[in-house]
Amino acid sequence: MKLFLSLLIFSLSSLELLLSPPALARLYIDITSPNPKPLLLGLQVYTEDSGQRTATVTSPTNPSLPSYAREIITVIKDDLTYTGLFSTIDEKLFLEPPSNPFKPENWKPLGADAVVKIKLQLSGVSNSLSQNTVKALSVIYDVNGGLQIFKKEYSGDLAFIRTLAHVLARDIYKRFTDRDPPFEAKILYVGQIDGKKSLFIIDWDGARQRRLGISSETVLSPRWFEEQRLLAYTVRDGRRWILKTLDFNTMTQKTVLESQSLTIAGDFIDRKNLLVTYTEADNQDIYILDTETSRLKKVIGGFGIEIDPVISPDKTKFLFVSDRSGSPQIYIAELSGYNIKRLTFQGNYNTSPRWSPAGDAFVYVGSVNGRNQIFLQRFDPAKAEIIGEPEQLTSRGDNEEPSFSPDGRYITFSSNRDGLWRIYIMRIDGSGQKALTEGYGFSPVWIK
Amino acid sequence: MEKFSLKSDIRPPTSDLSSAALSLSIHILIIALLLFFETPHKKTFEKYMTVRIVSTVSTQSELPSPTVTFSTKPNISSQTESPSDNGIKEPPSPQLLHTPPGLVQKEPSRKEQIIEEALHAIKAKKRIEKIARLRAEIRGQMSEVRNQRSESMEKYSFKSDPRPQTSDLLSDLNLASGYVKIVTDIIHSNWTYPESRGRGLKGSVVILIERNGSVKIKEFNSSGDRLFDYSIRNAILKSTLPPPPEELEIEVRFTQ
Repeated sequence: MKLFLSLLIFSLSSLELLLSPPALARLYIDITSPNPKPLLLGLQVYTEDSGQRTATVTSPTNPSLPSYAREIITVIKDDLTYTGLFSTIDEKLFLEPPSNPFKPENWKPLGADAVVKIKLQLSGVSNSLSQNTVKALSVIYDVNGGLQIFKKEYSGDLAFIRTLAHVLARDIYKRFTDRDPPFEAKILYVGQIDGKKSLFIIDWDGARQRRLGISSETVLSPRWFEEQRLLAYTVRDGRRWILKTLDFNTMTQKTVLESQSLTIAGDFIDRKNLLVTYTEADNQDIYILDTETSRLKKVIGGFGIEIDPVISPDKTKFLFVSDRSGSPQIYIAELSGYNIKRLTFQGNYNTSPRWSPAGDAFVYVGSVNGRNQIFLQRFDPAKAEIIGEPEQLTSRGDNEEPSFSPDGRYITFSSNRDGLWRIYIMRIDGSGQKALTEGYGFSPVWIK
Repeated sequence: MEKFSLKSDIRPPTSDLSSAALSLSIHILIIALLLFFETPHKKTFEKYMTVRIVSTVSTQSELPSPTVTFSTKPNISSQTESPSDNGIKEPPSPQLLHTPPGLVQKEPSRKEQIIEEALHAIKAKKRIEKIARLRAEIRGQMSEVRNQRSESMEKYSFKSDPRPQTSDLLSDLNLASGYVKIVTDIIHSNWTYPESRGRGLKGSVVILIERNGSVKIKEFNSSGDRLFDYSIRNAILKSTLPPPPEELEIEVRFTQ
């Protein structure tokens, strides 16, 4: 009886469901593969300088700007467009003067997705450049929604106008992607001055080159430890090799190891321990160097060469290069030195591995027809296995020493494709390759 | 339903065959009932759709029965094809104002009927023209869409016809699937996302397409990626959709 009753209830309820008229017919649509187009921005900068600095207006929609404002707009535009995620509307096409209130109907015909209006104001003593401060008000509008979606005020020194522009660009990028771009990041590399090697720092766009007070006949393999803002590098002094650290917090140098044999910094495990390649009896092996006591502990050794250790982002494993198979190939091992696994199988020369910040890929240098090219290999950190085939990212000249940007979307490297070794940058799919230095550059590393 | 299955599980399997037979027979009964109820339901849906379409063609306020509307159909075509048709050509409202009171007494129903029919016809004509214009617009958008779907395009080829026939329109609007296809193409043509490297992102929106074609986002299921979500939202907001055969709720699922 109970069964019957429940059946009845069930049938009644199902009947009820069917009998109730469907309020609306719910349909499903599946849409795949979006058109690969960047977001189109209307980027407008205008000045509101008090009194003396009134801008001469050439046309209502395109007023001429003072040089500092021009520089700001150029930096922002370059930052955003280089990401490949944004493009900007030619200012000649603007229907709306920059200082006018935003109206969606002025932007829809241009196909804009969003409009950024930046108001700049100079204040301070106008004669002295360094004392001048720039105030900026950045407002972002969404064209399709017709709404203001962001508003922020900034102020900065006129002497550091590019830094202010990078910060403005960062916030625009972040508003749409919720990710941190490397616009404020720097690239440290080994450059050349007066016949000697020296360490230089440039902005991510190649601008504002400055030199660190370190120079020697040879400067090798700068390695950066972001958490502690610590740099390790090797210099040559006569017949000796000196491994040094430079603490960026205090800007103090320290000699860690001085030896007749070559010691090259690999990667910091923590503030104290550094993975290094150390040469003993003409054989290179991987050691952990205690930077406080200068003591070395062998991790991976053998008859072959074992070089270039780079620690995984989770600090449990490291990649290194070994010729144990007969040719230099990339391997992975646990920090203990056990569980060694080969990861590259194509070609007979694969070196210089570098992890992506997320640990889901690594780049390396592989030889193709006698020229060195940069490859990207996807990696599964959980299984410690490679995913798919390596992807060749460069094709011209020789390309060396790749390094991932902090956000994992760009790679800097050195290349001699145009003769001299220079620092280059590209997106991780190999697009947008461009030189960042005019002069000699090698071994670039990213600094946040 | 869960309740039911739970109870049947509790029953020992050794219970008699008769209850099993009873259950079976009741199931058959229910299925039969379901089938019985389903058929009329389908019919009403079709009718319901037709009525709605007809109402868009004639007037908003009135809901005439299908027969009434079909009777106005020849009027519409005559109106469009032969402007010299009696009564209809003249503007209706002045006629009403200028009619002597005596005449109104004589045959008020006949005249009013004609005027009303004329009004309907004019309104219907305007509406048809509007729909045709919208469709032509969509067609213009469609030509921009990369993938050519010649088959479905031919179905909608009448859109470019300057004088669409109501019967064609009706049969056409009945093709809900055709409408959904158009919506899919329009949204897809408006969907841009800059990253070519596929990360398998997925997001969806539930949209309500109102009778006039205006779109409301009812539900948003985030992909977890802000830029991807923004691209989805923009694809919907940028899309101008033609009026649907009836108010529609569509879940649009976007996959990178």
